[in-house]
Amino acid sequence: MSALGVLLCKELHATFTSPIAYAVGTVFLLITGYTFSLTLFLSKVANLTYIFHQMYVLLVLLVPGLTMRAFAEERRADTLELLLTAPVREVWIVLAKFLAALTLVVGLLVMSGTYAVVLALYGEPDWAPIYGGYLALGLLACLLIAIGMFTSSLTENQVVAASTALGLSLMLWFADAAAYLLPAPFDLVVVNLSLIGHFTTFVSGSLFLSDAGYYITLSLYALFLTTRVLTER
Amino acid sequence: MGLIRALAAELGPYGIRANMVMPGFMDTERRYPEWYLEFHDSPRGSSEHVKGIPLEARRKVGYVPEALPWYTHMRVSEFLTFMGRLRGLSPETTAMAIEAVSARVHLQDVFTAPIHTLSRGYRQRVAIAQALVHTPDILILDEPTNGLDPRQIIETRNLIRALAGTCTIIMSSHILSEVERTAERVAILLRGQLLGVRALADTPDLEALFLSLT
Repeated sequence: MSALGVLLCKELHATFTSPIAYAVGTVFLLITGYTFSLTLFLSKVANLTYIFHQMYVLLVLLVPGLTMRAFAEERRADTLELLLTAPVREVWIVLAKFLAALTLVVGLLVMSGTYAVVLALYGEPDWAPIYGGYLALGLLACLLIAIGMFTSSLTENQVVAASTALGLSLMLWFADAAAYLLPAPFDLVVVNLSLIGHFTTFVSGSLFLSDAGYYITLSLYALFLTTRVLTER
Repeated sequence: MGLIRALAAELGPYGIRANMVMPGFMDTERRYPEWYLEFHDSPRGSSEHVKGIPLEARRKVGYVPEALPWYTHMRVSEFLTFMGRLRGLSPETTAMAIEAVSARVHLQDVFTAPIHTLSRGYRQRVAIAQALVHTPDILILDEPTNGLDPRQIIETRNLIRALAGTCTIIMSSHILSEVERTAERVAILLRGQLLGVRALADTPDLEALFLSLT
């Protein structure tokens, strides 16, 4: 097994033996399950658009709680020094933590897939927005986790790491609001930085490479910065 | 003259800023050219696995940090397995190495215990065991007797001396008496600068040498 595999096993073990994962998972599934049932019975419309937007908000709020431990805990327990003096590249350490957190979030999204199954059993949903919505949530999760990894690499205080990640995510969410105050072409730049702007097109069933590129580029940039922080230690 | 199979210690005022010194030894020949060259020229420490290949150099080094590291979710056996596998050992080799190293540092009694339940003395042994599991050429110990009670200090000192025959041990300490009892050679550093390297056999008064150099 490669160093990445060994690190990933350790991170998955740490993730799934931590109460944080189960607390976050329970909150996520309870709230989305409640909302799904309520909207289905009230509207009797076979789509998940509302649920996807709620999942978007929940991920923005909950992912910092998942990622705050990533490096902050390693620093606090003095284990980061062990990892950084072991014969592994810093990028593997970052990727292992990223993939472990992503596994948990994707697991939650897969469990929420039962809502789509229910719609398929009792109705005829339009599948394009559902596929697009899940793809958007997966890409959103990548970006939020990468941001959380970065802020966690900067401090040994988990609360500081979580609140900074939340702040950055919220700033990205509302980035387009600043467009009204800025002259061209800066207004276009901030509009294109908007987290929600690139999300809603997916949920409406339209897939644009530019939207996927936004999430992928920012995720890679955040992971790159995290690796740089570790390398510069 | 190589450092391999010798026993060295480094000294300095205010704890020698060991955090800077220790990782620095592994990847910065510029910072410690004299030590680097000795390792470079030594029979087992051939240049190929040090110069320009930090990962390969790290593979040859075992490191015991001053602050004892531990994962709350791991047992002793799991932690040692993780560290062995992380350093590229196969599962079979890791299992054999862990068995050997546990016997060597007397960890068999707590082999399946969660690390967070162990005393500081046992955690020190676990930290040393993880650094030995891949049979390093160089073992680096950062303030290994800090925070230990007198019995644990004696046991740790004996353990270090027993290990000296199998690999080079570089130990940082600001306790002169401990260095005199443990080491064969001493290097004195001040703010990352190497001020001198002496054999303790040629140094009748370590305190006087220390004061004269710093």
